[in-house]
Amino acid sequence: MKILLCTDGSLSSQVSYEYVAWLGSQIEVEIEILYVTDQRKVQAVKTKDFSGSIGIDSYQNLLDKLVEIESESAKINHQRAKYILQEAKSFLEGKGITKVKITHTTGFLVDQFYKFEPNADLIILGKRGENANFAAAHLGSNTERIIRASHKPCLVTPRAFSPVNRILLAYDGGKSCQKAIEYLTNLSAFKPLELHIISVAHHDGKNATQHLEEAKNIARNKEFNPICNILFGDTEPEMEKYVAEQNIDFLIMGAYGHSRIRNLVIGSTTAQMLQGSQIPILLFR
Amino acid sequence: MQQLFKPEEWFSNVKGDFLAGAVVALALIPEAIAFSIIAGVDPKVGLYASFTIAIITSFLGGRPAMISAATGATALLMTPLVGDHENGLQYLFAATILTGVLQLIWGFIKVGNQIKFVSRAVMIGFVNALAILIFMAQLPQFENASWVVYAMVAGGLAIIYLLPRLTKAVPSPLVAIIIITLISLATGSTVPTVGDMGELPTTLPSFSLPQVPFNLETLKIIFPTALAISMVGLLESFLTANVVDELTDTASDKNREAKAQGVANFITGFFGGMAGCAMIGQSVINVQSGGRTRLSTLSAGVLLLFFMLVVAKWVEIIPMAALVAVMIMVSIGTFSWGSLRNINKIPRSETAVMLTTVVITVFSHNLAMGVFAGIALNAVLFARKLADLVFVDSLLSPDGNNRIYNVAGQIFFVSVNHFLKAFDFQEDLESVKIDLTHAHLWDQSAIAAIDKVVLNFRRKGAEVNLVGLNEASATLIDKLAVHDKSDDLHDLSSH
Repeated sequence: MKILLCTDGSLSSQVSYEYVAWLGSQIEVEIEILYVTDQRKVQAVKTKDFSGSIGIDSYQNLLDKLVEIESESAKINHQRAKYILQEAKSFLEGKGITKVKITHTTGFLVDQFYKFEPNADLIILGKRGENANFAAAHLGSNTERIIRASHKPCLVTPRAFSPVNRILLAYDGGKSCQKAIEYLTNLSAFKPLELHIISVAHHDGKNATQHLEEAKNIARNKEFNPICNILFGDTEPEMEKYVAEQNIDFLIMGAYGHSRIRNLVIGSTTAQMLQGSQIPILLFR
Repeated sequence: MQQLFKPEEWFSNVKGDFLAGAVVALALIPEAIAFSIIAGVDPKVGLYASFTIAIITSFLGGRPAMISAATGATALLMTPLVGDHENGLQYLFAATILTGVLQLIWGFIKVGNQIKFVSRAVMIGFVNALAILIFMAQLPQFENASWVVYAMVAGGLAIIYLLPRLTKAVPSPLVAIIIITLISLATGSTVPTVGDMGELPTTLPSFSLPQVPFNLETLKIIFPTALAISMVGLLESFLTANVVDELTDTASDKNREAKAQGVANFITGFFGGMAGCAMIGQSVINVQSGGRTRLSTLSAGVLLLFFMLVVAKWVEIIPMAALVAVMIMVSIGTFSWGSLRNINKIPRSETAVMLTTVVITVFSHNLAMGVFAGIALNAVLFARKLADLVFVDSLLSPDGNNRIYNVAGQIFFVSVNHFLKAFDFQEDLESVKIDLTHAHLWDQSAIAAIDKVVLNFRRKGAEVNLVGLNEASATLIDKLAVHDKSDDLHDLSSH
């Protein structure tokens, strides 16, 4: 499996390395580690010149000055990128993963992302980046945009690593959920784990039962022995409760629910789960 | 991803953009007034134009952080239109609208891709000519002026030039204007002021149609001006876009910018403004003050309107001398002094192109003419250089009966003489092989030259073989050459 691992060297990224290493210990993986130097940081050099006066050869002089300032910071950024990528590589190699490729580009992660995405089967990224040390409950802006833009499954890793034993699939019968179950049941890494499948019922539970039955059959056909449950009530709190009660440590869900309007952004359930969750979430479109 | 609204083009540098916008707005006021005076219209025409153009290009433009407003380059082209007609101002509005339409057309036919024909030498000629014209436009202010005017201009220049060495926290042109105005008030001097030059804005710009007859006669009057403005405007805009591209190390969309300039001028014409374009100086100021995104352009436009309505009654009493000082500084800042300093290092042909652009512009007062003359001369000189790169060497076989000519280079109308001279038709040979592997035949002249070579050798009794033609050259020979079509040989006499 080809994995695209987006890193920015933050604590959150370190956690993603651990999950990659876990996946790598289960199945054969080929990893491309991507670090994008954010152009904004280079671009917005803080010049404190408000003199509004253009002197002799002002354009050339200003260009020289900017080049001088920016080359310094760019050099530091390059060093930083090298260091981060090298560190990630040696971490993974230490865990026995040999096929690791490192890539460094400059620009916006969101703009560069499409170049690398087609080569990958799975995208892994931290929940929050280096720019997001405040408002800890929120989703990193880069993370959210990547999830929105990606056509491949995305694994969003939490703030701390814990070994994966019990996985939970939230199934609502939607297209992205169908993809999810197919993907998961074909993945040998998940075979030895305890699989839970839940469906949340809003009214009578008839739909939910039907969906659950459907998912159960698919899983059984692939030699899984899922524990199936129907939850009643509001989706997010019920799911969170279930995760806590059953000690779930890996969540799989569709990025888009049924509600049409929400399809414009990522699903509301998805967004809430991503924000509140302490466990990795694998998202499907 | 062709997305019209990209958040990072607006909100990635809010504080820096806003401050830069304020600095630019303050710097734009005196310039817009001065350019209006160059064009021969009321200061409010330039101020309104600067407001609408800045706002519209901030949203539609292809180069974030570039400042567009009423400019000297376009104002200089308007002077005859405004001066020669009784109803000049209304013709100017009509010409501005037509400029917008033409620029939209340029944008749609992707004229931005053709900017490559304007070489660096022509560009430098353009800015130098622009600087000289802006400077010359200030000279009338010195006619019959008292020593007070000279003193004020000198004082203003000193403040603008020296103040940034003390502090970079305040816009020095603004400080110069305030100090000169205060001195003028305190001494009760009677030097000409901005108020003497025409009406200043007191209200927001409002929509109105130009008061001109809508007929062919009007079109004849405004079309030449509009055409010249549309081209000069785009040229300066592209040039400025390149400058900002380099400064910020980001890319711009030239064709989108052309369309944005078109829309901006089109709308400006209906709101009592004169045609404008991007401004090199102001854009540099914007970047220098920390502006990086569209927000800087937008805030410059909005703040300009705010300042001009708030300070309108104070603007009246600004002595013209203060504005002249600002404009002289603008012209010094626009001029590419490096092009003079390095005149010994730059190839002579490029200096000739640059000087031609400058001289033609200064004499015709028309930047469009200067640029076209520059481009034409540049093309001719380039063709000459390319023609020098035709190399023919030859090899005689040991028995002295066969010769191989190896030709390398571009064979076209300029290089054919050089090419023909390389052949010795007097030599007594059995066969001649001409190897064109490293040559390219471009046009009729080249084919005619090949014909001449082949036929001349044939007349001397030698067999001629052409080898190594590339496909394009071979096709051209097939179509045009006569040496391989014996029936056509008699045609050669008519050549």
